[in-house]
Amino acid sequence: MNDFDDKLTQSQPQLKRPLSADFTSRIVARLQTQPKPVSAWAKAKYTMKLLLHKPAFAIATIAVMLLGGTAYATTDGFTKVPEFINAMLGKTETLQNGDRIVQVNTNCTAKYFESYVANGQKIDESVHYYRITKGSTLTPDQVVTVVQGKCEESRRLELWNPIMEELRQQYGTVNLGVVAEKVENVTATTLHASNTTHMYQGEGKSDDVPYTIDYTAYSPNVKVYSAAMEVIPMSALKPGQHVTVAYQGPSGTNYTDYLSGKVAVKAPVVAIFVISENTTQENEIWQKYYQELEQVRPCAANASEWCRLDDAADTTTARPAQGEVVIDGAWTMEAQVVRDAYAAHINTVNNAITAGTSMLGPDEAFFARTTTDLRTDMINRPVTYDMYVCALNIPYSMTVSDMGDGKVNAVTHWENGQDQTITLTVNNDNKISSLVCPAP
Amino acid sequence: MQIVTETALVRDSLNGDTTAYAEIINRYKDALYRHCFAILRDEAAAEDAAEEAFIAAYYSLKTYDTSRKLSTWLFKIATNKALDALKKHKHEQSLDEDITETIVGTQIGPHVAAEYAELHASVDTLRPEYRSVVSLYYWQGMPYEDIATIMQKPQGTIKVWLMRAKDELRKELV
Repeated sequence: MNDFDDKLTQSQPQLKRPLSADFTSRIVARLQTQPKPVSAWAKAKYTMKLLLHKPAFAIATIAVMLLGGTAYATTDGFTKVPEFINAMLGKTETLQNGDRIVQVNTNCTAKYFESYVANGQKIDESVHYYRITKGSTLTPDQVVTVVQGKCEESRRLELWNPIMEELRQQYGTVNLGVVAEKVENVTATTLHASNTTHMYQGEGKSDDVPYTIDYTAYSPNVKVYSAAMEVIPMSALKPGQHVTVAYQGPSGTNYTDYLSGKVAVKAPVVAIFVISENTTQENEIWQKYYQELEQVRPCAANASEWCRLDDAADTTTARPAQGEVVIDGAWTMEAQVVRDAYAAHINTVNNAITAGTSMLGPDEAFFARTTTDLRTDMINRPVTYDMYVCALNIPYSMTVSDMGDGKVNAVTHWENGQDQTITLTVNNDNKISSLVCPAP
Repeated sequence: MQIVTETALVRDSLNGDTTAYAEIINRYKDALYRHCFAILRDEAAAEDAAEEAFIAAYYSLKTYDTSRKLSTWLFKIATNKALDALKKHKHEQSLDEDITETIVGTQIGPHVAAEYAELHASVDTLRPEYRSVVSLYYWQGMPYEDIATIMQKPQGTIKVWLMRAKDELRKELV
C-alpha cells in the first residue's frame, strides 16, 4: 500500500451517532410478528420472481442440461476408475405435498461427506437422499449427477496435495509454496496450436459478467492432468472444459494479479487440471437449483418423514455434546474462531505482541490465506510471537471442543491432509492465555 | 466455554429461533451500519437500510449458501438496500459541514481532521458504486474476491473501479 492507500484506510468514518440501542430488538420484534423464513408463501413468491426474471440464456442452459442428461462415460479420465465412483439412481418417491425424494446409491469413499455435511452428523455414506421441491424441473438423473460430481471432485482433491507438492519441489525449493493454486473454474474456450491456451474466466455463482485471461507463458515442462489426476497431453484439452490452472509465483499473488498485470512478467503456467464433466455439471446444477434441492435423511423422530440433513430440530438425532462445536468448511467461520482467539490473545495476554509494529490486526491476519511453515520449536510453548505465526496457518477446517478446566481443544485439519491439535488455555475471563501449536 | 458458530446460528434461525438471529445481527450490525453510511452519507438512512437488510436476509436465509461467507452475503444485501435507497429517495446530498464533522470524528488533531474532511468531501463526489467499493476495501478490509461477490461484478471490474476512484480522489484533492 502507498501513502494514499494508508490515508484512505485510516480515514474510516467515525460516526457521531451509534446505532439505536434498540436496533436488534426492534428487528427481532418485526420478525416475530411475521412468518418463519421458509414459509410456503415466501417460497412461492420467490419462485415466481425467479420465473419472471429468469434470463433467456439461463432457460436455454437448463434445456441443454435436460437434453444432455447425466454423462457417466466422461472423456476426462474417470472411466478408468469405476471402482471409486458409481452413483446410481435408487428409488424415487413423491410426497403428499408434491416434493420428491430421490435416493442415490454410491460407493464413493468415506471422505466424500466429510467436506459436505454441515453439522458433522454422520450418515450412511453409501445412500444419499435429496428432496426436490414441488414444481421444480430438476430430474432424478441430475441429482445423480450431483452425487457423482461431488464424488469425483472429492477424489480429485484427495490426489491434489501430493501433485502440488511435487510441483513445488520441481519449481525450486527457494520458491517453495509460491506456485499459485487457482481454485476458480476456468473454461478453455479456444485452444491454439501454438501452445497458447485462451481461457475464459468464469465468476462465482452470483457473478454474471465474465472476463478473459490469456495464459500465454508456459513452462517447458507444463503438465496437464485429467480429472482422475493422470498426466495427459496438452492436446487432450478440449474447448469448453473446466480446468484449474497452477502457475509459478511470485509469492502472494493470485490470478487477479495475473489478470491485472500486477505480476509484471507473466509467470509460467506449470500445470493444468481438468475438472470432470460431472463436477462441472454438479456446480451448475447447484448454482441454478440450490433453492429447489436439499439433502435430507429420514427423521430420527419419525423415519417415515424427511428432515434436512442438518435439521437441529430433529432432536432425537445424536447431536454434538454440549460445548462441542463442529466447524464445517465455511471459511469465515473457521477463520473467525482462530481470529477471535488471536484477538483475545493479543488484546489481553502478550503486550509484546500488541506493541510489535510489524503485527497485523486480527482481521488482516485471518482474512489473508498466508502459508508459513510450522516449526517444531513452536510446540508446547507459551504464547509468543511464534504462536502468532502458528495461528496464521489457517486450518482447512477445525473442530473445537471444550475440554474443561479452561482448556479448549481445537483439532485442525490442514491442507496437507493431516489433522493436528491446537490447545488453547482459557483464563477465568474467557480470554486465551496460551496457544499450543501443532507439530509441522 | 461455548463457541457458537455462524453455521449453527443460521441453522437455528432457519428453525425460527430469533435469538440466534439476534446474535447474527449483533455480530454484523455495526459493520453494516458503517457501510450503509458510506454509501448514503446519512445516519438515519443508513440505520434504516441496515435494518431492512437484516429483515431481508432473515427471509432469504434459505437461499444462503453456507459454503460462502455469511459476512459477504450480508454485505451484499446491505449494499443493495443502500443503493436502492439512494435511487428511491434520491438521498444524495452534498457534504455539508455537519456531515463532515460526523464522518471525520473528533478524536484526531485539527490538521489531520482537516485533511480527512477534505478526503471525505472528495469521497462524497464519487459514484455510489465507487463509494461502496472504497468502503468495502479500505474501511471493511475485504479482499477483492468478496467485494466482487458483493457488488456482483468481476474482480477485474472491482480493481478498475478502485483505481478510478482513487484517481478521481487524487484529482479532487489537487
